Amino acid sequence: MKKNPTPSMARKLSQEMPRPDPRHPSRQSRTRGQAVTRSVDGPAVRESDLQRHSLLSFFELSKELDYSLNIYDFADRALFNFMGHLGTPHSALWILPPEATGSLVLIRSHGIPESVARQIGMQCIETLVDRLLRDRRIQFRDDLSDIFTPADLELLRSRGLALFAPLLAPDKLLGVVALGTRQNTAADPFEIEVLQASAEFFAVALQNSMFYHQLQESVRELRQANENLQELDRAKNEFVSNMHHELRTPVTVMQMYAESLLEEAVAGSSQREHLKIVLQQTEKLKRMLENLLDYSGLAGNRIEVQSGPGDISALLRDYYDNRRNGVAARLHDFRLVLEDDLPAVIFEPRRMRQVLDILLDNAMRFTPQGARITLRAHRLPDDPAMVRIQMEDNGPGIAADKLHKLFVPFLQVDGSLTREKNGLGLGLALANRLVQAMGGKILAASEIDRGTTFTLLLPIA
Amino acid sequence: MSRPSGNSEGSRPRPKPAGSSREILAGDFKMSDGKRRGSLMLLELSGRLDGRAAQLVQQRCAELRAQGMHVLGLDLSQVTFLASSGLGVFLAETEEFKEAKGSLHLIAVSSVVSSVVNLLNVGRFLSLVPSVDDLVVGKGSR
Repeated sequence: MKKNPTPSMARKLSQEMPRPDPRHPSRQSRTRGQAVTRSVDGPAVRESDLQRHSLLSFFELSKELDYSLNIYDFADRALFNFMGHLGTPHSALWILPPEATGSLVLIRSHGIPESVARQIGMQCIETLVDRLLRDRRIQFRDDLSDIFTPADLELLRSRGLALFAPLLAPDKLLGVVALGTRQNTAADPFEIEVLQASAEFFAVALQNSMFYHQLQESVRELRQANENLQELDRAKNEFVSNMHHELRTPVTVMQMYAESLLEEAVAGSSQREHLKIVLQQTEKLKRMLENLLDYSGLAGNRIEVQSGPGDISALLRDYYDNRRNGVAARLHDFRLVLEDDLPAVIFEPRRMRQVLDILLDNAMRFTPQGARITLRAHRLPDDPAMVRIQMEDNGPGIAADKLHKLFVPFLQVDGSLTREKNGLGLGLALANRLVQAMGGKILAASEIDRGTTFTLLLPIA
Repeated sequence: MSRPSGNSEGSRPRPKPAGSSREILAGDFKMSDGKRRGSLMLLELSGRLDGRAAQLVQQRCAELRAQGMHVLGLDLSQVTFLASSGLGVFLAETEEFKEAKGSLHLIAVSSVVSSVVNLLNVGRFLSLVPSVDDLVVGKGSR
C-alpha cells in the first residue's frame, strides 16, 4: 500500500550518498556528520549536505509510514519528519473531512497552541484550499498576499508558519500541512522539491490508511448492527412475554365466568349455545397466546450476564487498541487514561465491551469531528469498593433537563446537538441494564459547550 | 498541543522492557529508565534514533510531562544516527516542555547529532548542554 520513492530519485541518492559500511552501519552517518561540523552557522554549509539530508528525510519517511497507523499517528510521524527535514519547531496538519461538508479539522500541531492552530485553520487555511487544488504545489506565505489579509499574514508570521503543502489525492485535497522554515537560512529549492515529493508520498499513504480504517470500521459496524438486531429480537421477545401475561389473565377470568354461566344455563337454550361459542373462542384465544409464547421462545429471555473478577485495565487497554484506529478514521481523537494498578473488578468481558461500544459510538455520533473522547479508569477516593470508568467527550453537551431521558428505551435526546442520530434509542437503555446486571451503576453528567461524561461504577472483586 | 497520557500507545509499537524496569529497546536503539537528579530527570539514549525510536522518545517525554516532571535531560552522547524525525521530536518536545513551563535539554550531543543540528541551524531552538553537571549547576547554554 506504500508508494515507493521514484527510481530517478533513488539513483540520485545513490550517486550522492557515501556508501555504507555493512560492518558498521552508523559509520556512514558519522562521515556525513564530519563533513558538515565545520559549517556552523557559516556560509560554508555545503549545498550537497542539505540535499543529502533532504533525500534521507524522504527515505526515512517512506520507512516510517505504515497503513495500519491511525490518522493521528500518521500526522505525528509525518510532521516530526518534516520538522526535522526543514529544521523548524513549528508545524500543523489539518484534514478535510471525507464527506467534504464540514470545515478543516485540526489533527496535530507542534510548536503552536492547539487553539491558535484551529484559528489559523479557519482564518487562513480554508481560504488557501482552492489555490492548493489549482496549483497542486507547495505555497509560500509571502507569495500569498493576494488571498491573505495583512492580519492573516501577521498571524502566520507570528506563529512561524511560512509554507503550506497540499496533501493531494488524484481527485481531491485530503489536507494541508503548514510548516515554518529555519531561521536565517532560506530553504534550498531542492529541499522544497523533496518536501513536495514527501507530501505527495505522505498523502498517498494517508489515503490508504484512511481507506483501511474505514473498511475496518465498516466491518465493526456490521458486527455491531448484528448484535443490535439480536438485542432488538430479545426486546421484542420481552414485549411478547409481557403481552402474553397481561392478556392471559383477563382471558382466564372470562373463561371461568363463561363456564360458571354455562353450568347454570338451561339445556337446549340459545343462551347455552352462545356461551359454548364464547368458551370455544376464549379457549382459542388462550391457545393463540400460548403459541405466541412458544414461538418467541421466551423461556430464557432475560439478559444473561456471567460476571466474575477480572483485570479491567487489560480489558480497557485491549478495547482501546481495537477501537482507536477506527475512531481516528472518523476524525475523533480517542485517548486512554488509566490509573496504575487498578484492582480486579466484577464484570463480564463481552458485556463490558458491549457497554463501552455503546458509550463510544454514542460519543462519536453526538460530537463534531475533531472532538476528543477520553476513556478513563480510576479508583474512587471516597468509595474503596468501586472503580470508576468514564467515557468523556468535549462535544456540545446535553441540557440538564434532558439528561434523565438518556436511559429510557426508544427515546432519543433531540435538539440542536445532533449531528447525525441514527439509531433506535435502545443503546443507553441497554447499557444501563447490562451495567446493573454486572452489579454496577451508570451515570451521566453534561454541561452545554463543555461535553458529556458517562460514568460506570463497578464493584471491586 | 496536549498529548495522550503514557498509557495511550494505541497501535504504536510497544516498548520492549529489558534489564531495568523501564529500559526501552527498539532495534539497536536504547533508552534508559531514567535517573533523577534533583528536579532533573535524565534519560540516556544510545544507538540509531530513527523514526520508530523517535516515536518512543516522544511517548516517554509525554509520559514524563504527564507525571509532572518538567525538567528533562536527554543524554545523546551515544547516539550514532539521528533521523529527521528524531530531530523533529526534539524540536517539538522542546516547545511542549516550554508550554508546560518546563524545559528539555539535549546533553553531551554526539558529533552525529551536532552535525545535523549545525547543518540545519536549529541550535537556537534547542537547549544544548555540554554535560549533566553544567545543567545541574545552571551553566547550560541555550
